[in-house]
This record gives sequence, structure tokens and C-alpha cells, in this order.
Amino acid sequence: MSWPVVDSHFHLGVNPLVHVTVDDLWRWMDTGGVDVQMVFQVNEGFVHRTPDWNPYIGNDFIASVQREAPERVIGLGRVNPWHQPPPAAVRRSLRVRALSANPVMDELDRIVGELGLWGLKMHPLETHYQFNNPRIIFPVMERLTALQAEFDRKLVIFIHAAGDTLNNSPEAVADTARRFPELLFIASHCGYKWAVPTVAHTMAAEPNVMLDLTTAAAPGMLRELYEVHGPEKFCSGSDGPFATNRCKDAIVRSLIGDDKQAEALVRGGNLARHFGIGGA
Amino acid sequence: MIIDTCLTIGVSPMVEFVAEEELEGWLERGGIDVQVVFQPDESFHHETPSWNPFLGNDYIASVQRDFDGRVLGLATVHPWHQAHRAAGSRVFESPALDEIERAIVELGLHGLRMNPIQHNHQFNNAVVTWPLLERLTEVQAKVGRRLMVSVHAYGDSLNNSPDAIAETARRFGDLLFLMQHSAFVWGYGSVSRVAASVDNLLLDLSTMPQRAVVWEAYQRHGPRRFCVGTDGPHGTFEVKQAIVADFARDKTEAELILGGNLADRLALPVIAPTTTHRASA
Repeated sequence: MSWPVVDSHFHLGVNPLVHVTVDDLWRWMDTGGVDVQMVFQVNEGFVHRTPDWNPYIGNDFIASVQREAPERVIGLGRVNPWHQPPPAAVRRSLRVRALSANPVMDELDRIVGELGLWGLKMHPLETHYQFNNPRIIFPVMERLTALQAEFDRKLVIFIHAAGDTLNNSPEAVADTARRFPELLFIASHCGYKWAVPTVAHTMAAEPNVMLDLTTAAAPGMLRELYEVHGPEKFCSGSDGPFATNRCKDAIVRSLIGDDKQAEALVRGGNLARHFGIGGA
Repeated sequence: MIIDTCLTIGVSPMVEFVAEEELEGWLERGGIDVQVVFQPDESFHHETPSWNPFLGNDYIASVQRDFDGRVLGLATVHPWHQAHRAAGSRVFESPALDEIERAIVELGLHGLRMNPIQHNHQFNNAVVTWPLLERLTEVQAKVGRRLMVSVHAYGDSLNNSPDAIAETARRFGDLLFLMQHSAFVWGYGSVSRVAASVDNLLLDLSTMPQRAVVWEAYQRHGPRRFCVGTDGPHGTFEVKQAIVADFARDKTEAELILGGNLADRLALPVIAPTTTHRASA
């Protein structure tokens, strides 16, 4: 079976660090041999709604790019999980008990229901939260689980999981994935070299966690994982615009060797199957 | 004069401190003459949002107004909400710089609260951090009052290493930097050497219970380089007092750490211990 190339990882927009427009994206895909690109906002300075001062951030911006080419783009939303009130059970002041709005829940509803995006990009390091924080993360997952059922669309939670803080440890990813088995969690960077020794018995052991090879530039460290789980457990991304498709392809080939069918799954087949696209 | 450098006020998933209800008691229990306050690092906003009136620089300013003379409010800005500066950029505006202007000139706040790990920027990032401090320096000249930069300096990431903080403090010599937590236990071996000698930087002992890490700096520079806060609402006065007692060799030294140094640096009017309290209670 042939599968489209689905690249899991591209940062789109403008902030002090990044300047990538839609035209840049099309060029990137065409020259890199990417059929379908997963995209999300820049990590630094992301917002819920696109503001006047910068039309290249915000979930509206990502949705507009997806609308431009829905067959080529899978857009993920961003929320700031800290923009929630405290859980009702711990509120003390009457004035705080009276807080009724929760912008994060509202934005999740908008991302999935209104904008048609396919899930969330989450960055526990940049936004600084533990991925298994029950106060702010579990409510997000509960709502996404409900939205997935309501809209009958397979969502993903794409996590910066490079093992580079306590916030995104393989244990934290596994803990949350175990609690929300109906969602697919993509552990980007596979724990990188910092977490590889514990990935196998933590997040890789969860059936609803997919390991994303993005910039996992020492694939020899992942060989045991690959031998245990096979190609169906993996996907791959470029981490554009910071890294290249050439590096992505080299990482995939280094891990998989000459097995063309396995390569097709890792380069896009597994994600395509999840999203219900392509495959002939 | 007791000046406490560290109290988070407002409401987030992790903090609930409604200043209108709790601050007066807090000051009284802690024997605090002047309290430095700022928003919860994790949930901050520029302008106070409609869904949560206990966030935003406006909220900090309103508390400062209510407790006139007893509270020094610090603003928080989003360091990444700035223009991309390369030629051909399509984004020219920098709300972070506008907010600094608003917070200091319009709202009357006394500087910035920065948390490089929570907001993920290197404290010596020339593209993101330095423009903020350039603007703060300009605004300081405009308003004619010494401004503070209180940095979460726990030494808990590359972003807030003692080296990065010292480098930036040296570059912005007109501002006063409070190196909060004095690099905690992770700064051992570097904080005393690289940060303590920077003249416009005070080592803030808030929740820094490991004297060994900065004892070398204390011996070399004396109490004049230090200040302290409670790290409320989660920290306690008892711990703060114990930390100060670990360093101060007599009452005079303790008074400098507990507020005297900061009062000097900010040229604050001395508040008599009996002076009370809210301007508009």
C-alpha cells in the first residue's frame, strides 16, 4: 500500500525568532516532498485569537492556512492552560468563587468545533507546566475527549517531549496518556537523548502514544524501541523551519533501513491512517 | 524599615491571593512596611481580562493605589510579543514595549517582574530581553524614579543562569536588578563569583535556605548586596526570618537585608513603624 508523506512538525507564523509565511510553507512542502503537513503556531508568543498587531499568530491564522488547502494541511490549535480559574474545590474567596468563565475551555470548543483544527500542540517546557498537572492539563484532556466524540473526528495531542525538563518527562506523558486512552498522544522528539533510557517502559508502553522521530538525531538510541514496537509506533517530522527534510529523511532511513513498507508507514502512513486520509 | 521583595497577588490555578481581602493582614502579620507585589507568573496578562479581574497590570496598579506608600507594584509583560526585526518583516508592532510604557508612565508601577523559565527566554537574549530593558531604561529617565527588575533567578534553567543575569545587569547599569532566590542551590560555585560583584544587582534571599551557596558573596561584599522577601503567599515569615538570621551577624546587618538596602537603592522615604495603612480602605 502506498501512503502520503505526512510531516508531523512545522512552525508557522511570525515572532521575534521566526518569520514563516504561507508562501514559505508551500515552497517547503513542494521542495521537501511533503504531501500533508501538520502545522501549528510559533511556540514563543502564541495566542488564542489572532490579534490585530500580528496576523501571523493565533489559532485563527492556523485555521485560515488549513482552509486554503485542507487536503494538504492538518492544523493544530494552541491554548495557554494557565488561563483557567482555580478549580472550584480549592477556591476560598467569595469573589473568586464567583468567577465563571474559562477561556481555555472556550478556546478548545472553538478550535475543534468552529475552526476545524485537529487537536493541540502542547509545549510543557515553553509554557512551563507539568504535562500531568491535574489542575490544568487533565481538564483540557477531558474536554478534548468530549469534543472528539461530539465531532467524530480523530484528534491528536502533539507534545514537545524531548525530555528536557521535568515538565515533559516520559513518565508525565505516560501518566496523562494512560488516563485519556481515547486520545492519540504524539511524543515529539521521542524523549531525545535525555530520556531515551526510560521511554520504553513509560510513554512507549502506552498504546495511545505515537513516537515522533523529529530531530531524534541519534537513531541508534531508538533501535531497541523500534525492534520492540515496529514501524506502526512511529511517525516523523522535520521541525521546520529550524531543521530540514533532508535530516528528517536521514533519521528515518537510519532507523529503518531498507524496508520500504515500514518507511512509508513512518513517513506518513501511520498518521494518515489515524486521520483517515490517503492510502491506496 | 521592612521591605519585602516577593509577594504574588491575584488568582491563577496555583495562587489565590485577593489583595483587597488579604493584604492588610499579611502586612501586619509580617511586620512589613513596604511590600513588592506582582502577578502570578504563570497566568499574567498585560491588561486585566474580563474573565478574571485579579490578573493584569491594571490589577497590580489598583492594589498599589489602594495601599499607597505600602505597596510597590511590578508589571509583567510578554517578552515574545514583539516585532520581528529583520528587514522585510511583516510584523512591526511590539505590544510588550507599549505595555512597559503604559505600566510605568500611566499606571505608576515600579519596574518589571520577569520569569525566564516560566516565559522561556534567555535573560541575556539580545533580541527579546534587551529591547525590554532598553525601553525600561528610557522610561525610567522619563518618570524620574528608580525602577526594579525582579528576576526569578533560581538557577533552574539555562535561561536564568547567574551568568546570564549578571551579563544583562551589567549592560543596563541604570536599572536595579533583584536576583530572586540568589540562584537557589544550583548556583553554588558561580553566583558568588559572577553575580555578586555587579553593583546594580542585589542578591535576593527569598526562599534561599542554603547559606553555603552565597556565603562567599556575603563574606566578600557584606550585607549591602542583599535583600529578601517572603515569596508569599506560599512562603512564610518564619522561614524568611530564619534565612536572614543565617546571614546577619547583628541587628544592623539584618535591617539592611530586610529592607534598608532596597530603601537606599530606591531612595524611598522612611516609613515609621507605626504608620498605617490603606489609603482608601
